[in-house]
Amino acid sequence: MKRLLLGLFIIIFMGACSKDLYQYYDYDNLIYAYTTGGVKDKEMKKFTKKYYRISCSKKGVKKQPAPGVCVEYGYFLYKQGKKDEAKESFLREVQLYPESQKCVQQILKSLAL
Amino acid sequence: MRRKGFLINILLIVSIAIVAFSCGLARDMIDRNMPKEDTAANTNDVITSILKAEGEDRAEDSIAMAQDTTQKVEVLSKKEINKLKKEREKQDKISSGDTLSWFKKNKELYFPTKIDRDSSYPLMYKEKPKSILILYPYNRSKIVQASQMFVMNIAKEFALRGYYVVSPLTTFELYKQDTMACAKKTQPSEVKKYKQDYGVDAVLFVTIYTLRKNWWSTNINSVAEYCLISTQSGDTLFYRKADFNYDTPIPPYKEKKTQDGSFKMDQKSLMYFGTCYQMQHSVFMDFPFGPYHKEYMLDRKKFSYRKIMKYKLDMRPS
Repeated sequence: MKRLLLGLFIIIFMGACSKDLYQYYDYDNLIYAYTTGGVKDKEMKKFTKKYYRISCSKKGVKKQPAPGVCVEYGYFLYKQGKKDEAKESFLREVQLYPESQKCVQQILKSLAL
Repeated sequence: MRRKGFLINILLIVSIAIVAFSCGLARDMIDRNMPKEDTAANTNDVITSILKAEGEDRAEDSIAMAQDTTQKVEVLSKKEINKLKKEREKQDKISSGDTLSWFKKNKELYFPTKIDRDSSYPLMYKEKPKSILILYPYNRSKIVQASQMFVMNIAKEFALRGYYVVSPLTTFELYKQDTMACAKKTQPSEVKKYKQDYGVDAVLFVTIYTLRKNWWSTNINSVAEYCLISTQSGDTLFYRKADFNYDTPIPPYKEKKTQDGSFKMDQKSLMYFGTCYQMQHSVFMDFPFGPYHKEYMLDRKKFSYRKIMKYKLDMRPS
């Protein structure tokens, strides 16, 4: 009985420890829905709210959101007219990933932010 | 009437004269071209030389016969004949320069030598790219959403291997703004502009050849080509052509549903998306780790696949 409990504990512990660098949650569903036109303008608020969980993720080995996630979140905020928050999210991407500086600059330029 | 008869006579005489003259000319021509006979002395010489040669041959034959009678005639068995044949074949092979055995020749086919990542992707370790842009793929399959499926899964795979990947949404927006910004219309020599505009170290070109599932089969097939090109040197850092088959009752992808079940994929899309996910996972399994991974630059001696690979995931119970 003791061995069985120990085995179960090890399995649960190993399952809880994700080796992935980042936690994506339901990222695939959301981005796929957005890119294939599955998100209507009315649903944008709900959509952004769902995406917020991914952009604030502190799970995974790196304990930070995956590359490009903050840019995407900023873009969704921009689509809703929240320009300041969008810019903040874009700049957060540069803080987390300095390689993205030029890319973010280009996006900010194209969105006139 | 008399005149007519006279004229006919004259014509006859003239024609006979012409024929006779022409025959004479022909004979002259034949005579001239005919080989002239040698003198009788010459013909005799020829005959004697022929007779001499025949005599010499006969003498040689008689000597050989005499030798044969001294040696015993050996009768070879079938085994010995085969041995001789094999020896002769060997000698022929050696003379033609074909010295490798069948096993040595076909060993690579069945037991390929393990190649490490350092020798497979030397430029990846030399140039050390940190950021990657995935260009909108050239989709030649019949699935319209294949491009989206590939870009999303490749981006995730690169990110999990420790690279900074420009978000897939940026790739799609870039394509919306300018349709030239895709793998089909961009030349590999033009990638330097992405270094200037987006500051990326490498650009990935993807060509999707097929993504299909036939109605009579449970197998999902996907063929694609990947080419990662450096924006600094223009060299190819990574190349792979993959033929992927997924044929198992286990769903290829476990969907992480949203809390209220909204924005979920339909079953058909999920099937193709899952296959793309499994495919990218297999294709980039030996891709060197990036700077955000703890094994960065420590995986040089790990295994790598060949450039052209056939993957088959078949877990059907027998």
